[in-house]
Amino acid sequence: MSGELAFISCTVNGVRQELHVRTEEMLIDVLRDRLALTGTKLSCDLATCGACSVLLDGKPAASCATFAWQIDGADIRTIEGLAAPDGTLDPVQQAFVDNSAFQCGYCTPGMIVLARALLDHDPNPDRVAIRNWMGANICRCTGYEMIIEAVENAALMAREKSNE
Amino acid sequence: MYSHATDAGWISRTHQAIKPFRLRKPGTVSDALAACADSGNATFIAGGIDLVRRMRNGDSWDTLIDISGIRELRGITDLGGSVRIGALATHWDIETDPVLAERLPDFQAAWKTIGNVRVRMSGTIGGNLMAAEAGYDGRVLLGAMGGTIVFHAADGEYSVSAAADIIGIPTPPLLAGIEIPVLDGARFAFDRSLKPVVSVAAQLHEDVVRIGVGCAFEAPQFWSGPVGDMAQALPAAFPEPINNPMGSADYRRRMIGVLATRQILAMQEARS
Repeated sequence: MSGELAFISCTVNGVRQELHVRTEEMLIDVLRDRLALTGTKLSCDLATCGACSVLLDGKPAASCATFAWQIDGADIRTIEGLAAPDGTLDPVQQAFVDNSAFQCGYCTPGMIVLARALLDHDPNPDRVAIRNWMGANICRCTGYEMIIEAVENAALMAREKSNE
Repeated sequence: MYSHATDAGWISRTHQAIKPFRLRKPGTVSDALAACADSGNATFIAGGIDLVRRMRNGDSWDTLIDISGIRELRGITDLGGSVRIGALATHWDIETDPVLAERLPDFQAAWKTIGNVRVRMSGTIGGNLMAAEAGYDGRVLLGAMGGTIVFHAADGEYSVSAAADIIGIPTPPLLAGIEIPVLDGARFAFDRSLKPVVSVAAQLHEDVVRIGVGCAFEAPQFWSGPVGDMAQALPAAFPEPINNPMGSADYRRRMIGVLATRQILAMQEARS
C-alpha cells in the first residue's frame, strides 16, 4: 500500500516551517535531509543512545523514533538553535568546550541538548541528579566524568550570570 | 525482523524500513473506536516509544490512529478510595503528579525508576501496558498494587485486574486508564536492581502481601497471601522461569524469593 502525506506546521529553532511529510517519515530525516540541520546525529537508530536528541516543546526526544507528523504544532530546538544569534555559545556548549567533554564528538550534540533540558527543568541539579538525567544518553568513547563536570559548570555559569 | 544489508555486510534494523501507513487523528474516544472499526489492520499510537520500535522490527499496520489528542484519556484523578490514571499519562506525569505524591507516594517513587528521561517524558502508561513486553515494569507495579485496567469498547467500558493475563484481550482495545486502590497503611516497594534477569514489586497491607514479578517469565506473574506464608508459597506459585545465558531458571527462582523477602522485611521494619 502507499502511505499518505501529512501537512505539518511547526517551529524549528525559532523559524516557522510548513511541510508535507510522509506518514512514515521520521523527524531526524526531516531535520537532516530537508532542513539541512545536520548537527542532530543518527547513531543507534533504536531510540537508545540519545545521539539524535532534540528538544520537543522543551522536552528531550529521540528524533530517530519520532514521526515527523508528531511535531505538528510543536516547538523544536536542535543543537543549531542553542547559541545566541550573535554566535555566543549557550552556557552548556561553552562548558563542554571548557571541560573538553568529548572525544570523537559524535554524541556531543545529543549530550548538550539533553543537558540543556535538565538545566531548563532544574537550574541547580546535584551530581546524582545530573548522572541520572544524563544516563539517558550513551557515549561510546570516553568523557563521562568531563561530561558530568561540564553540566555542573554550565549550571554554575548560569547561576553566576543570573546573580550579576 | 525487517532489516537490510549494509555495505559492510552487516544486517541492520533501520527506521527507513518502516512501511507506509495511513494516519487518523480522532478527537474523541468514540471517533477513535469508529476509526479502528473502519480501518481493518489498525492500531493506536500515543507516545510511540514502543510502537516505533516494533515497526522498525517489521510489524506493520495499514492505519495508525493517533490518540494523543483525546482529552478524555488524560488526567490523574483522586476518586477517594482509588486514584485513576488516564491512559495518556506519561511516565513523567506520574512521576510529578501532586495527587499521586499525596495518595500513593510509594507507587510514585517506584514508577520513577522506569526508563530514562527521554522515555519518561514521551512514553505513556498506556503504551507501557499495551506493549505487553516481558521486560516492561508497568504491569508488574500495577498488579502488585491491586490495580484495575479499564478499557473502552464499542459497547461501553470494561475492566480487568492488572494481575490478569491481558494478552488475551481482543486487539486492539482502547485503554481508558488504570485505577489503583488507596489502602490505609499500605506500603509498596520495587526492586529492579537485577534487571533484566528479574524485578520484584511488593505491597504490604496489614498482614497481606502482594508480589509482582517481571522479566523472569514470558509475562509478569503475581502472588498474594498472608505474609507468613510467602516464603513457602512463592517457589511453588509461579511457572518455570526463563532459563537463558543472562540467568538460569534456578537463579531467577531464588532471586524472586530473596528480593521479595528483602522488601517485605524493610517495610515491616519501617512500620514498626
